[in-house]
Amino acid sequence: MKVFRLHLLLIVAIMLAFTGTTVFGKDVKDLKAAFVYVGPIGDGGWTYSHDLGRKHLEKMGVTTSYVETVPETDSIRVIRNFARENYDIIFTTSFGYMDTTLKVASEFPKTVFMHCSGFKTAENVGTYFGRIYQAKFLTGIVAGYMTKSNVIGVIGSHPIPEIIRHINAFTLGVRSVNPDAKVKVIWVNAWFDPSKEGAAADSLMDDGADIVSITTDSAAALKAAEKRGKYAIGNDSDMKPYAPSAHLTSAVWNWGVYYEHIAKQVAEGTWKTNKDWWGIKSGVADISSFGDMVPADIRDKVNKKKEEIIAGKSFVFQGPFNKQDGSSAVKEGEKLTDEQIWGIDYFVEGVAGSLPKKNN
Amino acid sequence: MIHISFEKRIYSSGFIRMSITICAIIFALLTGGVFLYAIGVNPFSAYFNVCSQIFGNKWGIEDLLLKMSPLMLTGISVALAAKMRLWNIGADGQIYMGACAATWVALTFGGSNNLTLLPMMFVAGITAGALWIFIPAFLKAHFNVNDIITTLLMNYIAINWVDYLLFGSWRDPNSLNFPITALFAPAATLPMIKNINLHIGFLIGIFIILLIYFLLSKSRFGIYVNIVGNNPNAAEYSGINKKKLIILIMMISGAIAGLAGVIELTGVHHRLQQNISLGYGYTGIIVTWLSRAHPLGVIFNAFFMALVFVGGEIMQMKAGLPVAMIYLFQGIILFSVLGSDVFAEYKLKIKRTA
Amino acid sequence: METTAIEWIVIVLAASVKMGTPILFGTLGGVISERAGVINLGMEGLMLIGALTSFVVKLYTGSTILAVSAGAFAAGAATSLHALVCISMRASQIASGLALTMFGTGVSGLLGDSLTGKTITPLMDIKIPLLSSIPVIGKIFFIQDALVYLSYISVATIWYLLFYTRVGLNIRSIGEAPAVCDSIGLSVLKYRYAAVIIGGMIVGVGGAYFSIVLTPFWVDNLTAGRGWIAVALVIFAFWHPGKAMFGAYLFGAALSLQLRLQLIDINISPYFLAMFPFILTIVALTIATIRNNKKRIAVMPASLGEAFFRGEKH
Repeated sequence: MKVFRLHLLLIVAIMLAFTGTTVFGKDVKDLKAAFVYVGPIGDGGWTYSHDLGRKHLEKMGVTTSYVETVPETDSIRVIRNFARENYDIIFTTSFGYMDTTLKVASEFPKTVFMHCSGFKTAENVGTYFGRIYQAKFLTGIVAGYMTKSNVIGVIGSHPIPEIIRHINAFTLGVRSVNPDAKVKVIWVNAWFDPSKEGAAADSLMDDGADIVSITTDSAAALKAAEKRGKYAIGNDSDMKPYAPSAHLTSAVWNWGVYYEHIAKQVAEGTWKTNKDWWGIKSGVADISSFGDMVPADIRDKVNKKKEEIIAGKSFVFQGPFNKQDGSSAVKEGEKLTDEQIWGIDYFVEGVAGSLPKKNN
Repeated sequence: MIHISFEKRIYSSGFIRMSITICAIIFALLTGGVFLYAIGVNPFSAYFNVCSQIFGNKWGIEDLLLKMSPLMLTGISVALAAKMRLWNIGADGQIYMGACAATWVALTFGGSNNLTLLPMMFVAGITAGALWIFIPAFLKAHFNVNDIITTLLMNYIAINWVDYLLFGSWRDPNSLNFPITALFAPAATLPMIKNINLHIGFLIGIFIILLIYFLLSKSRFGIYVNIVGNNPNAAEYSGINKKKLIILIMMISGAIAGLAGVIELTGVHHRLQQNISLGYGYTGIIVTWLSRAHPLGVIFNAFFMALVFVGGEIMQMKAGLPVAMIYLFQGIILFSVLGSDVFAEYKLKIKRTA
Repeated sequence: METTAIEWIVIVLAASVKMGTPILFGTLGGVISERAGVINLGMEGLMLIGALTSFVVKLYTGSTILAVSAGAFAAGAATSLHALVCISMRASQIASGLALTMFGTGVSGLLGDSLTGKTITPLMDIKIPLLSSIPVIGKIFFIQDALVYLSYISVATIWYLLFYTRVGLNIRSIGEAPAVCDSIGLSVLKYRYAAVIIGGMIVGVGGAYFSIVLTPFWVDNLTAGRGWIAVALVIFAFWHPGKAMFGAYLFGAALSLQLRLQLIDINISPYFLAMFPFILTIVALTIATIRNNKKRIAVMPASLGEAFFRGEKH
C-alpha cells in the first residue's frame, strides 16, 4: 500500500503544481491522445501495461484511441492516420517504430510524438522509457534466494541493449545473494510468441532451471512452470493471475503516472522534447506483490533493498562486478553512468548464454 | 423429393460472367456483414464509413493506390502463370528474395550516392525473383513436379533466409541490434508522382500489366502461351518447346513478384525488415481469380482488394476491430466468387421427383 | 543437475513427439482427403478454427473431451464449405483451399479477439504403466498426454481403414479413377464429401492440440504456419499414415531443436534448421514424382485436384 500512497502523493503534487497555470493552456479534457501498440492489449504484458496507462488518461477526461498489433512495416500508415486526424499526442510504444515516428513527425510539426524505448528525438518527438532494470534487480534477488538447483532460466526476446540490460540487472540481483547461481538464456527473437515462449521455458527446465524469468510479454512461460511445479517471474505487468502457484513476483510498469505528466505538459503548452527515463522512485517501474511461497524474511530483504534504491543509497550497476568472461567490468566503488547502462552490450558474470555476433 | 443438378449453358457471355462476379461480391459483403453484426458492429454504417473515409479525402485515395501497387504486380504475376495452367503460390517468397537482393545492392553500393543505385537494385530484385522460381519451374517443366507445393514451400525458405540475414549480419548496428537493416541511402528512394503522396511504383504496375496484356494478345509469344494453356497436348504437335515456355513464363512471373518486392522496399520501407509482404502474394491469387486471369481485370480487382486492405485498417482504427477481419473478408470473397463460377458455365436445374 | 547426453536426447525426442503431434493430425486429415482425390490447402485455417473452438469450450466447460470434439466439429463444418465449393460447385480445389485458410485465419482472429490473454489449464501427461518403463522408448512415447495417445490410435486406425477394408479400397479407387468407380455404382460425391469432412475434423483435432496442450492461451495465429507444414507432409509421406508419423516427428524435432541448440554449443542457425524440412519436402516430392513418372508406381492419387462430373468428358 505504501507504493500506492506514494503514487497518490506524486499525482497530487503534480496536480497542485499545474492547477495554477492551466488558465493559459488547453484543458486536459480537450486533448486527444493516440496509442500505437506492437502487440495485442490482451498480451498481459507490455501492451497491456501501456493500455492501463491509456485508460488512466481516459479517466482524466482525455479522449484516447489506439490500434493494436501494428507490424513495424505498417506502422507509418497508422501513425500518419492518427496525425491526420489531429491527435495532440501520439504515443508509439515499440522500439521498431522509431524511424517511422520520426518520419511522420517531420510531416506534422504541430503534433507531439512520444516514442517509447528508442534513442532518436526531434523538435516534436520525445522519447521515454523506465528504469525497470531496478525492478529486475529486485526480482533477481527473489530468484537468488528461492532457487534450489542454482540454475535460473531467462527467456530473452531480442538481443538488444534494453534486454541485455535487464538480464544483467536480474543476474546481478541473483548473484548478490547467491554467488553460485547460474543464469541461462534462450533467445526467442520475438516480443510476443506464446508457443515459442512456452517451448523455451520447457527447454530451460529440461536443462535444470527451477525458476524461469521472462523478458517477453506473454505468461506462457509461467503456465509452463506451473505445469511442472516450478517457479517463474513475470514481466511488464503483474502475472500472478495466470499462474498463482508458480508466480514469485513480476517486474511491472505503471505508465499512468508518466502519461498524466506528459498530457498535462502538452495541455499547458510547456512540453519540450526530452529523453525521459523514470525509475522505481517515481513509481513508473516497480515490482508486484509476492507469491505465497515467498517467505516473509525474503520479502523484507527485497523491500529493504527497494527503499535503498529509492533513497539513492544503492545502485544496480555498482562495482565490483565482472563481465561474462571473468574480466572486470566495474571496479569497487565505481558505477556505470546512464549512457553506459543504456548502451550495455555485454553480459555480466553468471550469465550462461551467448549474444549474436556483431557486424563484421 | 427435390433434385438439384447443373446443366451446361449453351451460351455463356462475358456479360453473364461479369454480372455473376458482381453478384458474388455483393453476396460476400453481405455474409461478411453478418460476422460484423455478430461482434456488435453495424455492417452498413461500417461500409459507409469506410467508403466515405477513403473516397472523402485525398489521403484515403493515396493510401488505396499505395496498397494497390504491390497487389497489381502479384496479381499479374499469378495471372500470367495461370494462363498456362501453372500456379505461382510463391509470389510472397519472390517478393522477399527480390527485396533481399535489392537490399544487398543498397547496403554494398549505397555509399556512392549515385544515379545507378536504384536501377541496380531493380535489376538485382527482378533477377532474384526470377531465379527464386527457377527451381520449381525447372522441376515442373522437366519432371512435372507439383508447382503448387514447390512454389508454396519456397516461401518459407525465403522468409527464413531473410530472417537469418536480419537477425545476423545485416542487423543495423545503429538500431541496437534490432532485426532491421540500416536505412538506405537517399539515392535508393523511388521517385514520387508529382503533387500526390504516391511513388511511381503504381505507374510501373500499370505499365507491366499493359505490357503483359499486349504481349499475350498481340504477339506470337502470346499465341504460344494460349495454345499450351488451352490444350497442352496440341502444343506437342505444333512444335512449341513446352518445357522452355513453362520455365520462361514462370520466371517472368517470379521476376514481376521480385519487382513488387523492390518497389515496396524503395517506395515504402527504405530498409529490409520482417513482414515486407503482408500476404500480397496470396492476395494476388484472389486478384487473379476475380479477374479470371485477364490482365486488364487485374487492375480493377487489385483496386478492389486494396479497398479491402485499407478498409480493414480504417475499421481497426475506428471500431477497434482486429486485423484478422481483412483475411476473413478475403476468404469470404474468394469462396463466393469460386462458388459463383459454376453459374457462368451451368444453369441450376431443380427437378421435383416422386 | 546436469543432464547426460543420452538423457538430453531422450528429452528432445519426447519434446519432438509433442511438437509433431498437431502436425501429425493435420497430415492424417490431409491423407484421407487426398486419397479420395481432393486436395485441402486450407489446413492452416482449419487448425485455427479447431484451436479457437476447443479453447473456448475448454475455457467455459473445463472438459477436454468436449473441447476436442467441438474443435473437430467446427473444423468439419468449415471443411464442408470447401467440399461444397469444390466437389458440388466444381471450383478449383487449390483456390478453394486458399479461401478456407484465409477464412479460418480471419474468423478465428475476429471471434478470438476478446479472448486474447485468457488461459486454461493445459492437459497433463499420463504415464502408461509397463510401456513407460521400457528404456528410452518408454520415456519418448509413453509419458505423453491423452491426445498423443489418440494420435497413435488414429494412425493405426487410418492405416487399417485405408489398406485393409472395403471402404478404404473404395476411397483409394475413387482417388485413382472416379469415372470407373462411378460406372460400377460407387457414389463418388458421397465418398468425397465424407473423406473431405472427416479429414477436416481430424485436422481440427490437430488445431485443438495447439490451444489445449502446447500453448494454453488464445493468441491470434496460434498455429504460426504449421498447417502449411502438414500440407507439405502429406506429400512427403507419400499419402501414407505411417510415413506421416515419421515425417511429423522429424518436423517436431526440427521445431524443438531450434531453441535447445542455444543451450548447448552447436552452431547451426535456427533459421537454417527451420528451412531444412521445407527443402527436404521439395527433394522428397521431386524424387517421388520422378519415380512415379518412370516406373509408373502409383504414388500420387491419379485424380488428385480434379473435379468429377458424371457423364461429362473433360
